Amino acid sequence: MNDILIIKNLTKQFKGEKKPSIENINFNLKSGRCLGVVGESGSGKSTLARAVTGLIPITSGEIIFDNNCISRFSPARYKKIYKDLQMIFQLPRESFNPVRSLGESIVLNLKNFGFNGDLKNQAVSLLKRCGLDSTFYNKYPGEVSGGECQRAAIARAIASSPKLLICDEATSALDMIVQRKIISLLNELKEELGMAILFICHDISLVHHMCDDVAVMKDGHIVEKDVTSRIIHHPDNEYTKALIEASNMY
Amino acid sequence: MRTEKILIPSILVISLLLFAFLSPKLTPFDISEQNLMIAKNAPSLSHIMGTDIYGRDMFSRVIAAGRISVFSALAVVLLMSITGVIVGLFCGYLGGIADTVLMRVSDIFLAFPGLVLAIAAAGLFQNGMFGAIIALASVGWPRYARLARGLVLSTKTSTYINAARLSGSNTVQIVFTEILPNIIGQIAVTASLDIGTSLMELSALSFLGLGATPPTPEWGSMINEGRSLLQIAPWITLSPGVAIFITVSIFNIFGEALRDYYNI
Repeated sequence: MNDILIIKNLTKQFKGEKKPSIENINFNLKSGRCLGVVGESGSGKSTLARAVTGLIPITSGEIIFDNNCISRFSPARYKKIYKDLQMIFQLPRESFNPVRSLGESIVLNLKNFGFNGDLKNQAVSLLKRCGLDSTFYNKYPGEVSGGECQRAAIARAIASSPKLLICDEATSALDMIVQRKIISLLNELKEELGMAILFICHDISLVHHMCDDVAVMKDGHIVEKDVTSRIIHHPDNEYTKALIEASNMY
Repeated sequence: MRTEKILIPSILVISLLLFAFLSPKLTPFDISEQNLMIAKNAPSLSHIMGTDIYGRDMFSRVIAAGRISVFSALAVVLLMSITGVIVGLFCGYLGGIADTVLMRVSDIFLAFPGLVLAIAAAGLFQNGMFGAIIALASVGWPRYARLARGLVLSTKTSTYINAARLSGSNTVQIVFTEILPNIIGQIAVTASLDIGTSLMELSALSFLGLGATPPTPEWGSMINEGRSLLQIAPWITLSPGVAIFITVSIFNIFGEALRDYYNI
């Protein structure tokens, strides 16, 4: 398996901040694998996600996605890679335009990425694949539950069959039962579409169920990274140990 | 309940617009027909608003002036809101040097009293009602640019805008299909409340001889025509004044109802 995402010495420092939000981040993510990024609030996880997707400019370092160095891409060039690089946000309702139905948002995605034919039918199929019936096509974000909205967000994200899906705290705003259902849906889709997932989460127990590898972040740095089983059962870093203890996994 | 509250004001505005559009066909007398024998006649059963200094029927002229007065006010609001909103949308979304320059230009416009600047601009254009419309629109757009820019700044960091970028939407798509539909309510409320103000400002320009020119009936110029006769024939001034009062009130009631509807 080849590396779909390579991050080299990635640093992002916001204007007016005394220290970088993320500093010298390095990791590789192979196609079809799931890498979990865990850490407490403010550790830089979401900054990492937004930097990889080009939503914020980086300060230094390299982001290589699908053999292209995208770290200095203009917004127009980024647009071309979004077909293969998608993201699911923490707050599902806020990730949809409130004046557009869920189905129309998926159709917009399909249209922008050059899909032809009956886009409404394709959107309905995607919603069904994510466990929502056709009635959800005409529903607005404010009319559905958080879990249903997140399923629709996943349907939108997988519309273009991306090579990499970034889930930025995608289950954090959901209750425990819905969290598990979303995790199992993401696992199914990962197998079905062969896509890589960068799973950003503060709950290491969820990462345990979802990810092949884990990177633990603290204060903008990766303090430990390895396969999930080793990190969970034999953590080296004190902060990782504290995270595992705090999660009540055992 | 929200829809019910806006129903009656909407019916009033639609009726007013329909009335203004059809007004030349609704006049009981020819608006230019002069009859000096009945000049300055007080309101009577045959001329319910009396006659002017040339013996023309005031009621017919007030009705006929409705079209030019109402639609000119609408043109001013449309022109300044569209221009201002487009400027504000792009300044707010793109930022940078264009934003800085355009916002400083709007600051300059906002530093002067609008009507004074409009009088100067109308004097410059020297083109009757068309010149007055352009003059008012050219001094009124910065308020809309400021409003739209502020709304864009509070909207552009929303998660759904980031999601739209990831959906492959370009800047024009994001500005017009993601941001604009979410801020249009506030702009529509401001615009609807501005129609009455614009109508009064246009009438003021016409009153000063910078808008419609005689014999074209326009409420502001009609008030001016009767100004010197206020003590002996007050109906010449009061009739168009009442028409302005009713029209401005209807648009203001509609604006207030629209504000309640959008919960702004």
